[in-house]
Amino acid sequence: MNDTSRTLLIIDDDKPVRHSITAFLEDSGYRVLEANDGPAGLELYAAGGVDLVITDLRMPSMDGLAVLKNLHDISSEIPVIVISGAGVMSDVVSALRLGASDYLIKPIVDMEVLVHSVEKALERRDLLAQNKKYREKLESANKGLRENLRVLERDQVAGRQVQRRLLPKPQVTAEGYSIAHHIAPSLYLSGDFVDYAHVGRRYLAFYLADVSGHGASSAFVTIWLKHLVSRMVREEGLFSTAESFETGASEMLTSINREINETSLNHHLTFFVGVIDTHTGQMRYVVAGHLPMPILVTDGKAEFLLGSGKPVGIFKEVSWQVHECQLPEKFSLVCFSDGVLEILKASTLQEKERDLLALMAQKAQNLQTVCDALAVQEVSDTPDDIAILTITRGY
Amino acid sequence: MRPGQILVADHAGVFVIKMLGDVRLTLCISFDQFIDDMFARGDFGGVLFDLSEAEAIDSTTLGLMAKISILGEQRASSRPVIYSTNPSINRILETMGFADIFTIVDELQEPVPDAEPLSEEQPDDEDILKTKVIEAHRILMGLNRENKETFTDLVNMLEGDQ
Repeated sequence: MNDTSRTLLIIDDDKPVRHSITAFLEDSGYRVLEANDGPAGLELYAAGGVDLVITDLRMPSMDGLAVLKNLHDISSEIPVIVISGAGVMSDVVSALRLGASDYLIKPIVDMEVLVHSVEKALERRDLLAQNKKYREKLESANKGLRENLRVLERDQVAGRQVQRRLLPKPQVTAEGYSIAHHIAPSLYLSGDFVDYAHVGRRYLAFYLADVSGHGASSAFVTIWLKHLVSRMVREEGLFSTAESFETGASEMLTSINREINETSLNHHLTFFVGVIDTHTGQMRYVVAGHLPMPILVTDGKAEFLLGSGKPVGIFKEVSWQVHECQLPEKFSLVCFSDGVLEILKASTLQEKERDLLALMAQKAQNLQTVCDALAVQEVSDTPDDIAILTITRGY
Repeated sequence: MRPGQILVADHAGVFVIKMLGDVRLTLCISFDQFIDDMFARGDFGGVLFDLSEAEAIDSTTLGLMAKISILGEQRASSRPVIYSTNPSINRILETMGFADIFTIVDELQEPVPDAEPLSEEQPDDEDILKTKVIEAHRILMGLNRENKETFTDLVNMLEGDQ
């Protein structure tokens, strides 16, 4: 593998030997520079462009070992082949210790051996250089990745803060209805969302939505949803009248369904939407593909609310039935997104639902007791978002 | 739970999509691609989802199944069949209202085709298609007992310890 662009430097005070080596190496396709002592050699090397040095060990003024040391002080990567007279093994050993690539014994009988040694040393140098380049490339790629990851994480954290700010604040109405929520995202951003408001000082309206998937794209949909529903409440008087109390929940889902089908968001949502008339304790609600069903706890007895309905954003022609329920003076209503099923130990869905009921019969006094009972705070690697919405009265 | 796996195979234009274990397609580009390719096939004739060995299915997968159903209706006016025997999975399908867009069966007995009507009217496509879909599934299952290679492994998601 002779490369004409390779430049070799040969340092030897013995002119005939030096010339014969030079001639042979030039015939082998190398460019060769000659120096007749150490200082001259170092000077030539310093001028640059030398790929490999061949130096005699025994020279006046500066011996080969000193040349070798000097060279390696300048660059530890330059391959140096030393040539020594026969019988001076101690010098050879010192030279190898100092990092010489190879040594040859004078007189050099077979020049091919020298050429072979040069080729090997150059190849090794190339490999080392390549290796170093790869390592640098990898390290820089790694650094780049780490930085990108940090940027993405910062971005996600910022997104999470935005999403948090869109969530409602827990409140207690004049009639003693307390409403609160907890959301544990599986990543930074959540595809679960809750919102609630006490509309017109009478109707306590709330929903818990679970957007399919999780992470950023689902979180975008939750933000869009918040905007959409807020607008309906603000501009269309959703849940602010006796009439809207009766039918608002289903109208809300119909509108959202239509919007999703028009925008082809590629996401669907499951919902629990409810509205309580705080003057009468009457509740109206709709369910859309939601699991598990909300749980109503009264007198230590827990039951799933009845009713069913299709998820939002899949079916074109679909309507939702509004269900009715009279809430007692003292009750708690707990609604979960399906992520909660992931943290229950039982194996089948039916068993999980049963366990959840049994747990809530004891522990549904308020949001904190619900979260503690399920150990939501301790769960760090839930594969899905978990949202919990609690409405209680009389505790 | 076993990590999720999706296997697909087709026989005479009828596709069988078999889901095993805990199927999660949080960011599934490959399944989306597969759906497009499937409907691009000239001889597309129907889909059967075999969920008999699925332990859990996430919402993204359910959404994609619904997409297949809706596209299938448009493309071949055939309603996809879901073969499902696991009560947990059945509960999810029921909650999602999938009975309206899928034919859900819990056993793979071929429906008895009606005697050929002598009228000019269209025969009941639904049953003929269902027969065809289930037949394809049986052929594939038969091959599959001994030979997993009938089904191409579409997605193999290793959750948790990546």
